Amino acid sequence: MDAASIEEINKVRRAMGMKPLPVPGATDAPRGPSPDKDQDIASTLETREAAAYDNFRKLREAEEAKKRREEKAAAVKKARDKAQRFATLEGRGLADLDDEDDLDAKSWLKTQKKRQKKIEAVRKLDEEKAAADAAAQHTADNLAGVKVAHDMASFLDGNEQILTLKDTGVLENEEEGDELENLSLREQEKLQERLDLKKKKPLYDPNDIDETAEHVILSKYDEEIDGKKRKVFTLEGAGISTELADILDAPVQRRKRQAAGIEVLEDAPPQNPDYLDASEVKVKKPKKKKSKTTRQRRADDEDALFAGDLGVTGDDQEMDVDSGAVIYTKKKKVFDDNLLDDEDLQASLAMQRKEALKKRKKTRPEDIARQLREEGSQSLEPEFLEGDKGMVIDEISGFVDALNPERLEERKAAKAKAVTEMQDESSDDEEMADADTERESVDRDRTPHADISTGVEEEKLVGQGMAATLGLLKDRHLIEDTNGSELNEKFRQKQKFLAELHRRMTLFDEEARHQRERDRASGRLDKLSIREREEISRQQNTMREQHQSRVMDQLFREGYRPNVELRYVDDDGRSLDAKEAFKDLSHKFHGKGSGKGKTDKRLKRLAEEKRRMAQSMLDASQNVGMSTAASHQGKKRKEAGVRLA
Amino acid sequence: MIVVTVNDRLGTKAQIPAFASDLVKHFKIMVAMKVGREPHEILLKRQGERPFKDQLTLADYGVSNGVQLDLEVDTGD
Repeated sequence: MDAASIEEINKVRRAMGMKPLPVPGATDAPRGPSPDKDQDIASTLETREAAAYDNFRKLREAEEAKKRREEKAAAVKKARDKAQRFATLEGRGLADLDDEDDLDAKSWLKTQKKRQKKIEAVRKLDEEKAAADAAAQHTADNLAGVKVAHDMASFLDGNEQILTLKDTGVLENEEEGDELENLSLREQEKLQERLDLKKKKPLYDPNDIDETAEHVILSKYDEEIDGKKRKVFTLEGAGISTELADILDAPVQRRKRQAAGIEVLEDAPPQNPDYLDASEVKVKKPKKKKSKTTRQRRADDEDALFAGDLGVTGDDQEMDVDSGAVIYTKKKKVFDDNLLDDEDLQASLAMQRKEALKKRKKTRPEDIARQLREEGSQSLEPEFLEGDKGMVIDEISGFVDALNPERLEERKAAKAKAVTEMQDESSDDEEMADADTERESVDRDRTPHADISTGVEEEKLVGQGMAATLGLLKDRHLIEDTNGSELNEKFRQKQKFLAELHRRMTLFDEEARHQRERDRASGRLDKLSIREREEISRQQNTMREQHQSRVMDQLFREGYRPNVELRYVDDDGRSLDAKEAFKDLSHKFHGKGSGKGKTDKRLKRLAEEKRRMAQSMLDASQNVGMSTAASHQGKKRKEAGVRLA
Repeated sequence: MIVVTVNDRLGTKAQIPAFASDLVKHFKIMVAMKVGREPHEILLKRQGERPFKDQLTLADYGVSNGVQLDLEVDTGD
């Protein structure tokens, strides 16, 4: 770069307002750094390095200044401390004389009264405080009149329960007063309620008859109308007076008021119970030869199982000869047991209960509650209360009584028939035959199967007809129970519509023919030329068609209900449901089926279905349906046999 | 002061004295004066890099003494 060219450039630079380049010949060093400094001070590495030294120096100075300041402050503090240490204490010291103490005896006596009063006041204050403390302590008396929002029966378990004040607004039920409740118990009650709701009890339960309650019409809606009946009892001082009705779920016969203490919630002394304790009962193992005693049992059991047993009852003398005296005695014993008929049992139970009641005349509520609960659990027994021994006949027992005599007669007849059949020729039971002639004649033409049901329905066969076939398929769940009536209705509608359509069509045809014939007969057309005749007939045709179409339209609008049903059938001819059909169509559309695993699964399922269709429900030879468990049991016990029910 | 070489790889090569703190815009005027082309038609770049922007200085692009810049025709886009 020569100086001339630089000069030239500098000219341009100056014209543009830029700083000129240094010319190598001329020495303008002092002009160089000064504009550089104020133009951009920290833009280059060199300037920044130069600045670093200044910064460092500034920092050092600041540190030094700080140090000096601290030193000064420390010196000031030191001086102040020193000054304080040697300052004299002011005020009265312990050793200084009190001005009041140097009173004479006279003035001390004068102030004595004032002092006394002060001491008295302090004592009174203390007493008041103590009294307040005593008042704050709670006793059972404080709980008098407080309600407990629980069934009393829930406290009978004897566990310690902690009751807390119910969470309500302060002014919400001021007149009713506070209520206590146990949170866990409340939870339990709620749970119970929810479970009860889930049970889906039938609205009318014929077994749930309460003889004691006053009969209320449609009592099941009482809760909805009057709101829920809450179970509440009230605590009273040392004892509780409670509505005992709350203890039971159902209303009790009389609502007695009885007093009882809270502290007697422990177990009452055991009364002699109506039933033996489970621990005391010893169950005898039944002997193998029990089959011989079937006769007596059948006498009071309702279900005579085998038709063939009639023969056994008929000729049991011979059987007894075979088996000897042992069986005879056993039979007698069984008979004795059966002497305890229902009535005897009821009577004895009633006696026991009466005694128990007498003992409990002055009982506490929880005992009564327990007793009532027990009785509630033995729901269907007639109750003997207040000493009268009469049997209470309710609707159910009446119904059962009405049923029983018939059954008994029937059984007698069957027995008689068996006997007479056995000893046809003998004449010694003629009066028996006389008595039962009619019945016997009826019985004769019945098959033995008909009298006594075996409890097993015979399997229906396809050969028995259409209904039997349908029944068979339904039993095996091979066909679904469709809503037949609806289908039938639809079918009828459709047929009706078709018939109507057909009728109208024929009517139209008929009419058209008639008109044509009339025209021909009238001879009106004879005068016209062929072309005119055609014209007229065409007109008539169009008019007729118009009319016809209008009528048809009306008919279709009224009566035509198309029944659209999409059916999908796979390659094997099985009908598919929507999901399967979608899958099938999708596979066909994409040209790609399921993988091997899925296909195998499906084939397996189909095979299983086919097998299930083919096999019999009651076939004991295979492990099918109901017979599996039984056959397993049989194998375990090494018993041979066929299960019938 | 630095001396920058501007080369358009077509036979034109010029050496231009400047300060590193000069703006590219002003440097382009110097180049225009040397190569005889309008300043707005000049595009400067390092080899294989993006073109210089007018409002930055040569120092920002790290242009120091003896650096060679490529000269191209700026079409305006």
